[in-house]
Amino acid sequence: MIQKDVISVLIALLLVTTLAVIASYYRYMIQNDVTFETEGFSMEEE
Amino acid sequence: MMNNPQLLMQLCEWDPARYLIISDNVFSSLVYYSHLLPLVASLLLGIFIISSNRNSAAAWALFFSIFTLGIWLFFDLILWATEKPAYTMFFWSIINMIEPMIYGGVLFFLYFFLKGQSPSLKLTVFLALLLLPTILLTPTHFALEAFNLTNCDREAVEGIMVYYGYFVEIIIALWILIFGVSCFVKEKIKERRIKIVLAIVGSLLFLLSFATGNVIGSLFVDWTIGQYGLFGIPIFVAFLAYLIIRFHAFNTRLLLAQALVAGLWILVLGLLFIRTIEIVRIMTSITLIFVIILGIMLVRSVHKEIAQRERVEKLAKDLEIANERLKELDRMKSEFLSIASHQLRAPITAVRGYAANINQGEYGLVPAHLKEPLEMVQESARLMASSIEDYLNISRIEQGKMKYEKSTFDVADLAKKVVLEMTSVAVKKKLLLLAEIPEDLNITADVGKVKQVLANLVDNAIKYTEKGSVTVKVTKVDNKARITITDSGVGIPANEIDGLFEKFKRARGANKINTTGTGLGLYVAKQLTEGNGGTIRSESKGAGLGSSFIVEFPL
Repeated sequence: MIQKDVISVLIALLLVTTLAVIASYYRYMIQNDVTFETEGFSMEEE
Repeated sequence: MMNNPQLLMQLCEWDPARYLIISDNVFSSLVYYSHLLPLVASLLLGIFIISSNRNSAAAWALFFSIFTLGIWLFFDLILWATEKPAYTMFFWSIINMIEPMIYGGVLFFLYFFLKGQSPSLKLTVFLALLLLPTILLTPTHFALEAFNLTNCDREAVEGIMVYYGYFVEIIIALWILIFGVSCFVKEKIKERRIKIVLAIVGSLLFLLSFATGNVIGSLFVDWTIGQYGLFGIPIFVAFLAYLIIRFHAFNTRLLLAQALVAGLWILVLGLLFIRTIEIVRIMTSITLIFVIILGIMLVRSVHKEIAQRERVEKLAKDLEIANERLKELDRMKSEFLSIASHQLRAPITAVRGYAANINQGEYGLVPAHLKEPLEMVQESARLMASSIEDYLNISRIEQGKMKYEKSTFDVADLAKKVVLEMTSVAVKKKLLLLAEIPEDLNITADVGKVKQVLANLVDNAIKYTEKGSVTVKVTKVDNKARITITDSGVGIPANEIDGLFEKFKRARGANKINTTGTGLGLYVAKQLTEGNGGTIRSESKGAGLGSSFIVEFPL
């Protein structure tokens, strides 16, 4: 058994998750907003 | 120049990924094996469980965990293969976000599976608030600070939220443990306790093995260890499989057996694609352990099934034998009843005959003080003959030997005859026996049997009436001849009226009025009426309010 209020909380969480995914996709895949850390570049594997 | 990202990326010479997950950037085929196998096996299991348990909240909670895990595995594989920093950052951010959600899904599954209900609203809100920061901060630098171009490892530099994520996972793991212990302590039944232990241990093993690899990977930046952690997933699958088979959860025993076999095929098939010998050895060892555990479970399960089936077959055979025996006993009982009744009939007829003759003075004048005892003898003999006749009728009916010699006759005239014959009995009890009988109402039936039924009903009415009257009414209703025998006697309680026509059934309290009743009269009356194509029923307003017995025959 699952209470209606619990379902509401889970749905709200799911909506927030969807928004976060969209925001992340927009930032990295659409805007290509990637910060690079390049200090001390070495081609050898750590 | 060394700070130019484009130039640095060119220096790394990454292989472009095909179909997101295929590229030479993946350091070992171990990665494919450790991701795709758990992904396929778990998804198959999840689909099977959902398809047989669409209404089960536990099934849906488990499916959510498995589905989220599937996304995690696939995105992780993309991270291994991709050469594009933007892809790395996006998929890495999503993975870090959903990882604690897998833990949350397992928690909900355990609540449904062990308690039959979700966590309370308070606990759900607490869980949601725990997860909210990781979700909300996913697209920000708190989740991922930058793409690491200090080497060619194609990694993201994780922000502080990754540590918060691990903190949430530890909290949920502890929550699961405490929940499991509390369920265990409250449960008294051994089988259910085993179920609790298996569910909690299986869940924690899975989460721990999944997390340990990633935590070590994050802390020491050695992601190959994480691959071995993923093999915890099939362990969870095996545990869940064992739970399902043993405890009949989710009703998927057969489907699960098929899914497990399919999983084994994938495991073995996967070995063909691994090129490095050391990895083959590791994979084979893990596969072997998996196969042994599953093999034992399956064999035991099949063994139990066979044993159960044999037991059922034996029971069915025993039942058949018992049934045949019962039929034989029933036949013998009816035969015995018939023989015994016939044997008793002859002497009783003699007793009645001679008693009547003596009473009528055929053997000389009967002294006055002997008249009453003689009448008692006659009356007792009559009752006994009537009972014997009932037993004989029953045995004939049960053996299917009752013969009906049907002819057309006037049922109104028959009713008059019965009333005349029973008048003396009514008078003796100081009751009025009234008749409302029209002329000429012809029916086709066995005249002897119909007379027996009417006499039986009138006799009953007289027996169960202390004072007042018994009325015999014959009417024509809807092309049927209806004979109604109404009395002002003890009546029939509403809850007993339906069972009155059953064998040996007597109304409660009937013994107070009539101690010689056997409960067979009405049963015989019903059989004889229905054998002649008629119907019989009784009506009464309740105890002490008289009753009516209605017999109908088609005209």
